Amino acid sequence: MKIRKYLLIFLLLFTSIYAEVTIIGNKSTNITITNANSAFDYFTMAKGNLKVFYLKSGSANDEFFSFIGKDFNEMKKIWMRLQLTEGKIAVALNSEDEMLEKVASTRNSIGYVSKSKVNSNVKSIFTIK
Amino acid sequence: MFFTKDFEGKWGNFTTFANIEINNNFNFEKNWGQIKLEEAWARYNYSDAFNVKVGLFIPTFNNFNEIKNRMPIIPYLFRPLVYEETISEVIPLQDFIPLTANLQIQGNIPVTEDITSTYALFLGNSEDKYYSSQTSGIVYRGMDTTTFKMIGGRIGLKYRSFKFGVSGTYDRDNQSTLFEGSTLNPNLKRYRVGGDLSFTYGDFSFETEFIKVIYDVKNEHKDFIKNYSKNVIVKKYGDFYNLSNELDNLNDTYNNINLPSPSDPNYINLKNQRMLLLSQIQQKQLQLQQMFTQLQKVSKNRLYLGDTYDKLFYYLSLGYNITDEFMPYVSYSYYEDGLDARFKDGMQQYSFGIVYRPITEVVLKAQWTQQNVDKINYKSNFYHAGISVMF
Repeated sequence: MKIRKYLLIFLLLFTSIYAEVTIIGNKSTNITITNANSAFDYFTMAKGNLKVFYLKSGSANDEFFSFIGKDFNEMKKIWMRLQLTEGKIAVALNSEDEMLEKVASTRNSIGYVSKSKVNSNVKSIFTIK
Repeated sequence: MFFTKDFEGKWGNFTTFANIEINNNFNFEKNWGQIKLEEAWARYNYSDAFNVKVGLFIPTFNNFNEIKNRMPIIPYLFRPLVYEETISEVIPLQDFIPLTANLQIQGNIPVTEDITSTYALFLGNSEDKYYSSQTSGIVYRGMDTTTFKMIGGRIGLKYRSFKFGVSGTYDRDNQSTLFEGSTLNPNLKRYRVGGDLSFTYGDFSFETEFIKVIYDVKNEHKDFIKNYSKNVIVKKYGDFYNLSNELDNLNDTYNNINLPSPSDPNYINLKNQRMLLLSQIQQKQLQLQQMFTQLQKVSKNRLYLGDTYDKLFYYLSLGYNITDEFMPYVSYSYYEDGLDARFKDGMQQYSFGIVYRPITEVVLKAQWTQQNVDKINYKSNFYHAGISVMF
C-alpha cells in the first residue's frame, strides 16, 4: 500500500516536471519555429512583428524558459528594454486559459501553454519535448 | 513618462511612442523645473527587413545610445563618460553621439537560421548649436537654421544575446565661437565612427564600445588653433589697447575744455563741443565694454585650446550575476579630446557598482566612480546611490 502511494507521488511529480509545452499562435500567425534560437527570436520580437504573451507563473513557464535558454528574469529584462526603446510590449497573463483566449483573439500573436490545454481556436506551432 | 500604442490597418502595422521628461519638481504655476518632449515617433512595420520610423527619436548608433536614459535597464547611476548628461558642459554629448534623428529605416535580415544581420539608416537635423534661439527673430526658437543635415547608420550582426555593430554619422560641428572674428568657415565637417560588442555568457555580461570623431578640416583651420594666441588674442588685445588710448585722449580733450561764464561769446560753442565729446566718450566706452567681453570669450577659448580637432572615446563593462537579483560590475571609460588641452592626453573613469533587483521592475543601485585627468592633476571619487522603478 505504502509503495503504491510513493509510486503515485513519483508519477505525479514526473508528469508535472516533464509536462510538454506547446508554442501556440493566432490562426493568422504564419511562422515556423524549429529550435530554441528561432523561438528566442520570435519571443524577443526580433522577427515576425508579433504580439507576445507570456505567463506570470506556472509549470509551463519553467519548461518554456528552460527550452529557450534564458531564465524568466532575463527575458523580462529583454522585454523591458524593448518596451522602453521600441515600444514593443510583451503582455503578462495570469493563466493558461487566459493565454488561450488572448492568443485566439489577437491577430499575429504567440504564446505558450501546456500541450494538454491546446484547443482548436489556436494554431499549434511547436511542441517542446 | 512613456506612452505607446499600436495601430493595425489595411496598410500594415504602426507603432507610436512618446517619451516626456519632467524634471525638478515641475510646476507650471510656480515656474519650477522643466518639461521636455524627448521622443515622439511613429514606426511603420512593413516587414522584419523594412521598418520606417518618423518623428523625433534617439537614432541607432552603437549599442548604448538608445538606452542611455532608460535607467531601469542599465546598471549605472553615473554612465560612461560621453553618455553622462550631468557633465555635458565639460564633455558635450553631441560631439560624440547623435542625440536625435527624424527619419530612420531599419530592419533585420536573416543570414543563417540563427544569425541575423541588422541595419539602420537615419537622417536628422544638424546639432542644436545651430538651432534658432532669438526670442524676437523671424525664425521660431528651436528650429534648425541650416541646410546641412546629419546622416548616419549602423550595421550589425546578432546571435541571441551576442551583438556586434559598426556605426557612423556625418554632420557639421558649429565652431562659430572659436572662429569668431576669423574669415574661416566655422561649420566643420565631422565624421563619427563607432563600434560596439555586447554579449552574455553564462552569468557574465560584457559590453564595450568605441567612438572616434574625425574632423575634415583645411590646413588653415589647423593653423588657426595652433596660432590662436598670436592671431586672435594678441590682435584683440592690440585693438583693446588702441581703443582704450582713444578713450583716454577724448577724456583729456573733454577735461581741457574749460567753460567760460555764460555771458562769454564762446560759451555756446564750447558747450556744444563738450557735449559732442561726451557722446563720443560714451560710444567708445560701450565699444570698450563689448570688446572686453569678446576678449574674455577668446581668452577662455585659449585657456583650454588644444592643437588638433579629433576625439576618441571607449568603454568596457563586465558584470556577473551572483544570483538573479544581485549583480556587481566593473567599468572603465576613456575620453580624449584634441581640441581641449585638458583632455589631450585623456581622462579615465573607473567604476565599481552593485545592482540589486528584488523584482524586475525595481532596481536598487550603488556605484563608486573615480575620474582621473593626469595632465591637470585631477582625481576625484564619487559615490552614488539610487533607485530606478518602472511602472
